[in-house]
Amino acid sequence: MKVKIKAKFFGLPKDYQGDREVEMEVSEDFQQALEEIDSRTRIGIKEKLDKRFVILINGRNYRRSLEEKGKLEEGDNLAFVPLVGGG
Amino acid sequence: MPIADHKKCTGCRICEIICSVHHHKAMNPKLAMVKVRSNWPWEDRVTICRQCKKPKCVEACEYEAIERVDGYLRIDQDKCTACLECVKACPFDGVVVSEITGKPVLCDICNGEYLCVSWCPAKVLSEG
Amino acid sequence: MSDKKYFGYAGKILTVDLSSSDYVVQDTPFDLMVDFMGGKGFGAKILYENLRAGCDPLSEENILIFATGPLTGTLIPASGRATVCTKSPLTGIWLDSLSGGFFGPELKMAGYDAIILKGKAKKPVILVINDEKVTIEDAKDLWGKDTFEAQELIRKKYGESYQISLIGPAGERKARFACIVSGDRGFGRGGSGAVMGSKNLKAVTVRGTKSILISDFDYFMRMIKEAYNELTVSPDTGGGRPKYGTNVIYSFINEAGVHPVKNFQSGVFEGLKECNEDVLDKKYYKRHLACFSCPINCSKASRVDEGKYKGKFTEGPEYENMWSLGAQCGNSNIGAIIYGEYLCDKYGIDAITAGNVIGFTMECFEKGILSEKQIGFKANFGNDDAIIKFIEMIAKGEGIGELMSQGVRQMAKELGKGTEKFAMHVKGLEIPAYDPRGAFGMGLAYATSDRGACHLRSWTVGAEILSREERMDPFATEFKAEFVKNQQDLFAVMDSAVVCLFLTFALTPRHITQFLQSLTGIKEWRTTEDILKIGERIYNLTRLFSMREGISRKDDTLPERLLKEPVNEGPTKGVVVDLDTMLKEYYLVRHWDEEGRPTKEKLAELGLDKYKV
Repeated sequence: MKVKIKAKFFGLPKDYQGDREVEMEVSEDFQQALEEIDSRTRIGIKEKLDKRFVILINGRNYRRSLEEKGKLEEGDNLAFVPLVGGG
Repeated sequence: MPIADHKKCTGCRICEIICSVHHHKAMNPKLAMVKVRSNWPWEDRVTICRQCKKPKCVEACEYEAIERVDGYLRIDQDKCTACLECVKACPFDGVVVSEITGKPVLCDICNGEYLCVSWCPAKVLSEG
Repeated sequence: MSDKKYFGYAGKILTVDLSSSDYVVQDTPFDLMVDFMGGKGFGAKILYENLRAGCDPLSEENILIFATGPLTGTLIPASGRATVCTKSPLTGIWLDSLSGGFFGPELKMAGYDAIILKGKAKKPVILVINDEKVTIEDAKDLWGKDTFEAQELIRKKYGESYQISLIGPAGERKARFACIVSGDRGFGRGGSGAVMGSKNLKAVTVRGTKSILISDFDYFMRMIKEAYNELTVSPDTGGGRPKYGTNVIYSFINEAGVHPVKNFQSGVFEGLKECNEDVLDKKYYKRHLACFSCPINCSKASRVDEGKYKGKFTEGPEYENMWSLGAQCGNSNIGAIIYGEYLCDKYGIDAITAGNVIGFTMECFEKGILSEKQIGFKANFGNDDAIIKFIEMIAKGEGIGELMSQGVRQMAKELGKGTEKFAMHVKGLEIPAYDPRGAFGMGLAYATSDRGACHLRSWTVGAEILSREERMDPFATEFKAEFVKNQQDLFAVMDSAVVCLFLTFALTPRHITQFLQSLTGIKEWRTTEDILKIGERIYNLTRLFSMREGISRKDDTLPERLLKEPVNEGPTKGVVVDLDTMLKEYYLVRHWDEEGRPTKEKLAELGLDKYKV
């Protein structure tokens, strides 16, 4: 199942050339969606998730969000945010 | 021989601090042989000796206080009268005047280690 | 006075009586160093023991203390910092305020760990410190000048190597949230500038040529290299922060609904597209600046190249001011923010409080509580001209600016009509750029901060919103008490060491402890627990100070808007802060009683039991 989401890239790696906000159609399965986003943007999600940046789904930490709803939904905002402020 | 890209300088003065730590094992930027001057808000300028092959400072010094020793230029603080002609003569604004003695000092390149170059976080200084 | 060698510390404290123009220099007592470290700790101990409770903060009874700590002014990264401690004229309670830059290091190199300022000069004066030479000189040519002009004059007169802390016209007229500007930075919050003004002290300028000594050189250098590695690999201090400065958090805070909009009426900012850190980076940031010895270089110099505010510039704009002069006022014009921040620096007022007060005023205008006639112009949210006008009026005390300059608590008191429900302050200090309805921990942080609502005694936002730490759910009360208490203690250490809090984004309390040990060689500082205990001691002492001035549990609270009024859109829709649950747990974790008073046992444990509560 595909859903239309908005991917937002805040303060990302210098080599990311793309736009701050990109609308995409991705799989509703989160891990699958990440792979699709990565192949388009090449930001290196697998190596960097939870190490260099974190993902907020509609402003909520992706782990908490997925615990609550399980998969992505139409209109979701996925924000890639640098891991600032330590733990 | 250290050259400075002033545009990158953030004014942190880590170059001054590490210079004093290396030479005196204590922290005192006023003892440093490199100096940062602030032109807030748009610029901080780094003053450091370029170790020229044909030094204008040596030409300008009538007291013969500046000589090349062990591969780098040095000012003999006893011969020096603080006339500051070397400061005027240097085309690169590379002669630091010591805040404490009032006499000019030149960078001694840390025995080739160039510590200010490696410690500068903004990569302002390079060995050139 | 001795010729004792000190490591890290300068070893002397300068006490100046401005009433008599006398001064005395004494050795820094060893006990003071071991138990209170420096900076905030020195301020807490000296003020608690020497200030009469209930005194008027703007009278000559008040005491103003500039202090650094053992780590200040060294090769330790981010060690260009200083504290000011006093009784606040804005809140009437404890105030410690910090500034980055170069003043702290220079003060230490001049040979002083602290300057204690007492009394009041008969006419405007400037305190000039040149190593051992201390003079109090006439400042009539400086009085009335703004902070930019005055600094230029001082440097011309005394020399380029002098560092300066001074007040502007706002401090001179004792505006309640006037700040002390320090070089290109400032001691922003709580009205320390008004205290300086009330002493007729225009500026303190200092030049120092002494060396700061190191106890264990090899250990010290090893620790510094380790710290530099950590700072470099951190995605914060080695990534986003050098690039965007404090605005590295701007977008995600908005994304999470935590950026307060229009006086905390909303969590959704419509101006986000044209007002964010990427726009700043592309169009406004012109260069990076750093404080003394700092590789993070979070500071920026910005300039407006086109449009209405063309030519305006500032060192900044900081995240807090992007909010206070931005979303707080419904404004997305970055040029106005830049100019507004510049004016706050020029006149010497706290930009966070200024923006908070302006947003409050705009809400009062839109609700008809203040009329166009009373204000002098239309003051709707989003009116950038109004923001600029208000800053001038606040600084000069003109028109309604006089009431505004007394802070939002006083404003609400005088306006009545239920305005106190949305006067966004705690204990009289205005709330900064985080909405606790989207990060409950900040609610507890604001309510229990020792100087009033402040984000710098505990900053829970990273842990609550970003961290994979499962426990710190932003909309839950669990684990917040322990987190906030631990951070307050650690930050009290940082503010006493004195080094920049941003080190904590990459370094641990263990690193700080090893800096202290290797630099000072103080044997009593054996473990990280010993060091954190000093922080806990200081935080309890500032609590005692404020309790002596009348603070109790009823003041550990939040404005009604945050407790009862949810926003109706965005990620924080429908939520209010459950402060009670967190506060109860906080008191337990702190070993304070149900009234928020440190217990006898806790005070005894910290060696504070001689102070009657």
